[in-house]
Amino acid sequence: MNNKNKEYDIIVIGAGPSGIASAVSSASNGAKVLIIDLNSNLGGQVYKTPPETYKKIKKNSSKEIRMQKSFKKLIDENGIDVALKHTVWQVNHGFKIYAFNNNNQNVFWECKTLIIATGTYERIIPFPGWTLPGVIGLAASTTLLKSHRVLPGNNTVVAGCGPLLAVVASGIIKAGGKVGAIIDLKSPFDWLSSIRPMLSNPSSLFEGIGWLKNIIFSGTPIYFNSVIKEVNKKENELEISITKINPRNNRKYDNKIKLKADSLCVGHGLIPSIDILKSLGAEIFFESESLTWLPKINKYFQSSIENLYIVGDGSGITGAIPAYEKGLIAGHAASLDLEYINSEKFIIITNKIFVKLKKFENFGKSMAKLMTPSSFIINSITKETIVCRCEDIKRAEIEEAIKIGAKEINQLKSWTRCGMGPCQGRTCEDSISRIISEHVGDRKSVGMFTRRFPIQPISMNSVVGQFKYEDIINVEEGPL
Amino acid sequence: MPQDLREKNKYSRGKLVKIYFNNEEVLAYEGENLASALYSSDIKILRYSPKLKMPRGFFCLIGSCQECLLLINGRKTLACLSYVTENMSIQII
Repeated sequence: MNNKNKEYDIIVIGAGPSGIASAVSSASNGAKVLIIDLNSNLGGQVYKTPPETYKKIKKNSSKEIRMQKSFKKLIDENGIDVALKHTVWQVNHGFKIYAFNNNNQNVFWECKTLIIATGTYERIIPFPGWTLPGVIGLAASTTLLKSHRVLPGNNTVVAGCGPLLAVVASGIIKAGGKVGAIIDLKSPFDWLSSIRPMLSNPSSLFEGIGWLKNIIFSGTPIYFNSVIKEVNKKENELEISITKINPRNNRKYDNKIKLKADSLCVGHGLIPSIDILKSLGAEIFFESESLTWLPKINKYFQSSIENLYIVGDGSGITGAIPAYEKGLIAGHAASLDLEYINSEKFIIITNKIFVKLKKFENFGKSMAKLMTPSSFIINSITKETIVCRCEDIKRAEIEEAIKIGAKEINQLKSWTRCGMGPCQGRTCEDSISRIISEHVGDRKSVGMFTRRFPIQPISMNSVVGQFKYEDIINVEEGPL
Repeated sequence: MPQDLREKNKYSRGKLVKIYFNNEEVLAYEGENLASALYSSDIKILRYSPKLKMPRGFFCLIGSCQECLLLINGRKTLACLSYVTENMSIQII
């Protein structure tokens, strides 16, 4: 049974920086606001702190702890209701939001305006051996290090592209672990080209220098322009073979380098999470620079559906700091819709925020560029590589379906079952789209997996709940 | 015996408790993340893939990939979103 809780002016899904900013700005204008998140803390994936049962031995604060404290204060001061540990699985137009909590209890709320701040998930392009236990995402590694305070391994290889490479490698070293090597898809030149935009944002520049310092002082070998050829399990270790790529012609040459490690952290950038928005039928478009599908939004982050906003990295990846400014703007815009502020005040407030947003956005965009893998990475997926982890579908099976006529991703899904498993295609969609587009051309015509509710797996038991046999409504038989 | 992967010098953790993974006793700290607690104790295989029966471990750690779905105290739950409690029973599905 569904337990109805309350009605709100505005509900925000996702309590990362942009979600919190939207909640705070709209509540400060007088709106009644609820913020929902599946995690047990505020701060989202970027400001993760250890669980409450962890006690600091030395008294020093981290950026994450400071951010979380200030978020908590803002939420309390503005009288915002918070529903942590709640996973949203359905949203109806108008809007009705269904979620289940840790005990699989189902609840729903209603609101006039919905702000989606669900961030991103990680893109990981497959290679032989990527399904082995001990191979984990780069984003997963940041959670493991920052929140759970556990090392990915005794000897870890870090691979992929983008700033997370440096974050994870430096994080492991700082926590007292060993990084066997860094395998970077990009070249040193790609990194250098991101220094100029970094200058606009000194705090990020200093943070970046800190990461590099840790890596360089530890003497960690770095292989640039390189990809993982394959990973094999040898006794208790992973044997990682790497291939170098000539960036001029994308030609590969095997440099016969084999690394031994007990864990491999790998990631190829982030993908905006637009599942809820797409399920509701809002307009989206394929953006060729970041190679991701993005929502069509106006200047104030409103989607093509009235009273439905999307903020933060879900509206296009620019990073945590601009995400906060985006959230503020949407929160004020939603307040204007609901007449909590007038248009004069709205323009004065938002003009200031736009100036800040513009400044921070350039930096975020350059980072996003570093984390976008070029098209040649698709060659890492051999015929025998599993692409869809949930359903064990290999590239060869996907190619076969394309050969006999699957021209679009949903057609491929129904022919092969790829993307039909419990992850609902989030893990394999990007790779499958890239494979199909090798044959049919542009990604736009390949499309996206259709999103249907429930957007997160939910047990039938928690939807239906407890009831007596007599309570089942008798439906009259239809005419034959 | 592999070295415990928990970072030790910065935080003290909660109470050391017993949990049961496939009926085998494992020591973990109350309140720590279940996926990371199992991983720290060298329990890396959390399921077998449906068709090829290949071993899998946690992968995304944010509740998206579903690779760490386990039967926790009798309910299908993601280990990456669960936290250790005393006598927690964990079974591979």
